[in-house]
Amino acid sequence: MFELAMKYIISRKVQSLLMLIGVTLGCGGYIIFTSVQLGFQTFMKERLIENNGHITIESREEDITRESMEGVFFKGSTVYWISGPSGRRSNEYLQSAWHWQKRLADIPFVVASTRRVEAQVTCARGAFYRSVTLRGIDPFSEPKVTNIAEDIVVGNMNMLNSGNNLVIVGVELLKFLGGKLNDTITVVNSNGNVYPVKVVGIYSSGDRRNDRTLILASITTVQNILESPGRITKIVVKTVNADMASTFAHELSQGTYDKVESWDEANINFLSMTRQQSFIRNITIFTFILVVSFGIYNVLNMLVHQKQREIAILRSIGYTRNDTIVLFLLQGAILSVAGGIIGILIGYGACSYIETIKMPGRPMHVAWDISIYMWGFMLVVISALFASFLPAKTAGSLSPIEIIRRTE
Amino acid sequence: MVAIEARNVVKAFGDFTALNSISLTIARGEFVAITGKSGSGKSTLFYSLSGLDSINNGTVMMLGYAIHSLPEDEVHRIRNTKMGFVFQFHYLISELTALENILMPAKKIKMHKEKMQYAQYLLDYFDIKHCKDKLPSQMSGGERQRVAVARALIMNPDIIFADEPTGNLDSINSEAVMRIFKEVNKQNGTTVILITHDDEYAHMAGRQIHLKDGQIEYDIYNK
Repeated sequence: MFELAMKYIISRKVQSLLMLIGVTLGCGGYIIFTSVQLGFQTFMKERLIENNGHITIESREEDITRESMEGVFFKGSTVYWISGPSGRRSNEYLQSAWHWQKRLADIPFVVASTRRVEAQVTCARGAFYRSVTLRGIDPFSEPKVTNIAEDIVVGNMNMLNSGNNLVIVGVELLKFLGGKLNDTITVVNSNGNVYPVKVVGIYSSGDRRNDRTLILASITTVQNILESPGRITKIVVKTVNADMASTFAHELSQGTYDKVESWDEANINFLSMTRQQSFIRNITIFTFILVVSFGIYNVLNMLVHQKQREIAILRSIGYTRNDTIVLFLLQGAILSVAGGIIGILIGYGACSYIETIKMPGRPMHVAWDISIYMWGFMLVVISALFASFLPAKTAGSLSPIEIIRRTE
Repeated sequence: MVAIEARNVVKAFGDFTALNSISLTIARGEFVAITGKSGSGKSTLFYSLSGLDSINNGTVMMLGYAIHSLPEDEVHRIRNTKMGFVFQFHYLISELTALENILMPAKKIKMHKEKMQYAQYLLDYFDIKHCKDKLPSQMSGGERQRVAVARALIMNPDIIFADEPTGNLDSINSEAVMRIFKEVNKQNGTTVILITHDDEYAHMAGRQIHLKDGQIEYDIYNK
């Protein structure tokens, strides 16, 4: 049957070629679409994680309500509010940072954690000033949790520990201030006190917003500038699996009043965007595969119609219904496997090329996951087999005697 | 030895009765021509006796098998190994060469290698050796029909069913095909059941069953 199926395929060059092209485009299209989109999503995810880790632990902010104020005043009495309480209650600093770090060190899913102290300050040089985020980091533990160190293009993170009032500034911010390496810029804290700091490094993350508004310094330097010695605002945690961060965060949040948030909870808009993208991708691919399947169905259906007399003779010389079904299924299978393999090669080639295309700032990101290729191949082969099955079944159900009667 | 034994075979298409209680016995090695005018029921009898078509009533025993009561797989096995069919149209597979077409029944049971020599012999015997590697579209009508006969003979069947095999051939090719049937019948003792409307060819058969209105009008042995 295989030999006959091959002869049928070869003898109908144009139809077979069209089927092959359809399957190839289906498989290749799936691979390219999925690889580029997942590559973009992975890139975005990594950008989010590389700056802020998998989980952040901060002091909880809370709306003040009648319930939250219960028992605060006149303990044991019923309080009737003439005008209900309002406002937000928060503590800028994490109360139990050391306790957290001790606890995190013993948790198996925690790879590493680091402390941070962060605040909004004003940064100025000459007549130029801008409101920026001053982030105090631990140069020793920060690289174990985030990739910020990799974005430092001049100098390195350890230089922050070589003295007081040393900072690493975003490339765009330095440009705005008209400064350069080793220049001194001033930082003004919320109390209006001015601190001169020296630029010992420059970083460029590719994210302009970050590069324009972020200054890195050692925790001690930031605590000094903020005039809050020993205080920590945030603990950033890296876990064994970023995709399970929300589960881990939930586990960590048990028995604490602090706010424990995973990267995906903190970036819910990003998640909804990626889900929407995936949804659109799936619809597009489904439509693509549907068109390919219809194409295969049409070609094979016509073939069954054209080959009725030959089906009749096959049945009269001892070939069964199943043999005729297999004959047409095999054609679908051969073409879909061949098209799938070519589609994989085209998909691989196209992805390799796409990866070299320079986008502003950095090259295009492509996901290189073998499962994308396997799914693309399986999807077109299964669709093609399904599309071949109906014509094959029709061929199997043809009665030889009916065909002979019709043709004589 | 009986090749085919039909008892009270009835075949109807709606209200029209094509075969009206036909009974006949065909011995092994007989060459039987079934004749009759158009619509007399000769093709219907042919299909009913060969098991290609179902019957409404009666029984057909072929080589000892109740052909209409067997499971489908068994019917296919018998068709493959014990029956050979030749139709008015050659029904060759257009993508296969003459040799490949001849070997198709043997391929079903993966005996094509063993039958290769016999296929070559048949090509030679039927004077179509030059067509061995030709596709049906590259052969004449007579050559195609001879290939179809060779395909029917490749499994050394006990019975050959031929439905107006000369219907599309000129007189020279028709005579050649009929001569082949005659020789196969004589030399191999193969039972041949031939449908024809040509009296001359019917007389070449040892026995002629003539149908009229779905019944046997006469059943005679030719001298």
